Amino acid sequence: MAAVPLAAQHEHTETPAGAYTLKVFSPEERDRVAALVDQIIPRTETPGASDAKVPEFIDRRLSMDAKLKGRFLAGLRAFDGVLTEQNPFCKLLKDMTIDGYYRSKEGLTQELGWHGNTFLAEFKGCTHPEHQE
Amino acid sequence: MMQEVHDVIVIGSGASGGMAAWNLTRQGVNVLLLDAGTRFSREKFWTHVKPWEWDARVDRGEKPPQFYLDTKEQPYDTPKGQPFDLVRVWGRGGKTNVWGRVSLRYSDLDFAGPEKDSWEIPWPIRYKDIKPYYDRVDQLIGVCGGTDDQDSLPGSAYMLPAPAPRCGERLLQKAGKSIGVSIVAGRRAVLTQPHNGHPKCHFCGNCGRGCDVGAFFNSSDYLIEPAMASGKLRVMDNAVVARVLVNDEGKANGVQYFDRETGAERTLRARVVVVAASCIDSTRILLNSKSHAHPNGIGNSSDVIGRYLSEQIRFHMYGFLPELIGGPTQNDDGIGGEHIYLPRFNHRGTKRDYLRGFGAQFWGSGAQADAGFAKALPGFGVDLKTAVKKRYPALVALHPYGEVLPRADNRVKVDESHKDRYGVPVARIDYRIGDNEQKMAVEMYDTAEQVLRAARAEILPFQRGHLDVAGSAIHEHGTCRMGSDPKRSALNGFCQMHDVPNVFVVDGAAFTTASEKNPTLTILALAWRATDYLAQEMRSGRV
Repeated sequence: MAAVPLAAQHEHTETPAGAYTLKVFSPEERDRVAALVDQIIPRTETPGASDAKVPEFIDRRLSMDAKLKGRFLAGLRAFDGVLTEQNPFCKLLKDMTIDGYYRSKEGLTQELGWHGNTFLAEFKGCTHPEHQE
Repeated sequence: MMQEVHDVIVIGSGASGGMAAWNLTRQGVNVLLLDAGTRFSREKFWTHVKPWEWDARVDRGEKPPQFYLDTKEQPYDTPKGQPFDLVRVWGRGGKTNVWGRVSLRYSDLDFAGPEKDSWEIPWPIRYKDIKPYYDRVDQLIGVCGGTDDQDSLPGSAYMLPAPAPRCGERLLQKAGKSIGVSIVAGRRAVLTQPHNGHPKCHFCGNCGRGCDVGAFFNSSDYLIEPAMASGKLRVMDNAVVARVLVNDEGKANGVQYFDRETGAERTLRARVVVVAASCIDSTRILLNSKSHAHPNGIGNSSDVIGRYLSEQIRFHMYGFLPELIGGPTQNDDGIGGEHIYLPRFNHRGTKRDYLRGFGAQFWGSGAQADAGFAKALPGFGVDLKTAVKKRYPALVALHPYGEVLPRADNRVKVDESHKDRYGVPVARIDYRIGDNEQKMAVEMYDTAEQVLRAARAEILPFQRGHLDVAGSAIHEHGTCRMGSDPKRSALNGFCQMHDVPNVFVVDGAAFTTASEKNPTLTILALAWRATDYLAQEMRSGRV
């Protein structure tokens, strides 16, 4: 068998995020989107959506999907600024905000407390006596 | 110069092709394995790339391993309004690089099912025929799990220790018990202790990106590498097989393939051809292998090849458990995906108004590396943010899988009007589910809801009756089925063609029925059994 590096010896160093250059939004559109996503997931004692670079996340997704880009930009231009459940643009914006925020370091680790995808020598599972049969 | 004649050519390097190559070479047979791709280099897997690092890496020009075959490179057709999601991995190990690792033995409920309900042909084998091979596969690849067997889920004496259930899983087991539904330990091909030289799982949970240490079975590291070390196996990269070639008597004598890099057409000679390119791709090769002796595709005098495509129906139901809502976030990664399984139970009690059965998986519960469920929660702002955080540690889900009956009209054809880049007709997949599946789905929905209600879960809104797009379970079977009647089946119980004794088809295409279970363990066992038989037949000079 080929040599297998031991998982425990893996370097789990992080990739630093570089500066992001907008591909789709104008600076004004970016600011408008930032204000909207912060209404969806605001800053509290933990970061909000624009702290987690959700506008940049959306810009990147739009740059990879021309159809989505057209839909999003048309929706943004026509949007009156009041978030409602019924408005299809609000739903799109909300879904993309959730995708972007809860995969960001701020959203996943600071807000949700996720600390997974790491080396564990042992997995203990549920240790609560009250959850056992 | 005479062209070299290989003992055996194996087409495909996934579970079935890897098993065929490994088992034949260890019995002294020289094998040439044709892989439609190349080896995926484990050192370059993105197993430990955090979700937020992904984009930064891509920006730097790095690429994760390209496991999945792009349909732009290799298209397939479906009728309008009848989509089928075909997932293919071309390259060493095939789909076993990224598979779900659920490893359930079929029982005689599965093998003897068709005989009992008279729907289509019976399997030519029973559990007792395949049991020794399940035992060997378990020992070879390492399957963890429990001893809480059911009549629908035969046990194994060779299980590695089951991983501890997570909180949500414990609570669902308790809830199931309260309504008479058994939820047992999962059976999965993940090493919970070091096994046969492979390291144990380190519980990072990102198995779907490929395991960077090979702590779950993949055909490349567990079968093909050892077979290559024996000196009996040669592997040819980027060899996209188009056809099995035959002599004047209609016996196979080689294959035609195209070099994936240069597009050059080549032929190879062999005494025996083992087809293991995964259900749909194998079927495409067989149907394209037309000759004077086999005008309908090789080995297809019965006209069953391409027919009886059976996948599985599936949906998802999510909920949040009250005991865990608002609680602390734990590391719930475990062995990646569920540690429990809900085996088929509908054969007990009152007779149903449909045939066959279903089981359920649970996938991840508790803290995940995203919070997609939040899209189904109402509202905006602090209320939404708070609602997501409270529910995040409490997530559980049921993912029931149901058997789809084999039907002659659910078929793969080759489309002469649509050819791939090499001029080879592509597969056309014409598949739909019927009344039996719709009726089964009713009980599947009822069961998932009852389990979650018994757990007092807050259930995320769902659309009753909705099923995933066909192909989503990635469990295609049946298009070159085995059976004892050569008029109604293409293969005998050893995966050998009735019409062409030196062609074996050893992947999911060989299954007589689909079952509700995940097929890989059974594919491995059947391929092992088939190639034991083949080696014996070669030694005796009959093949």
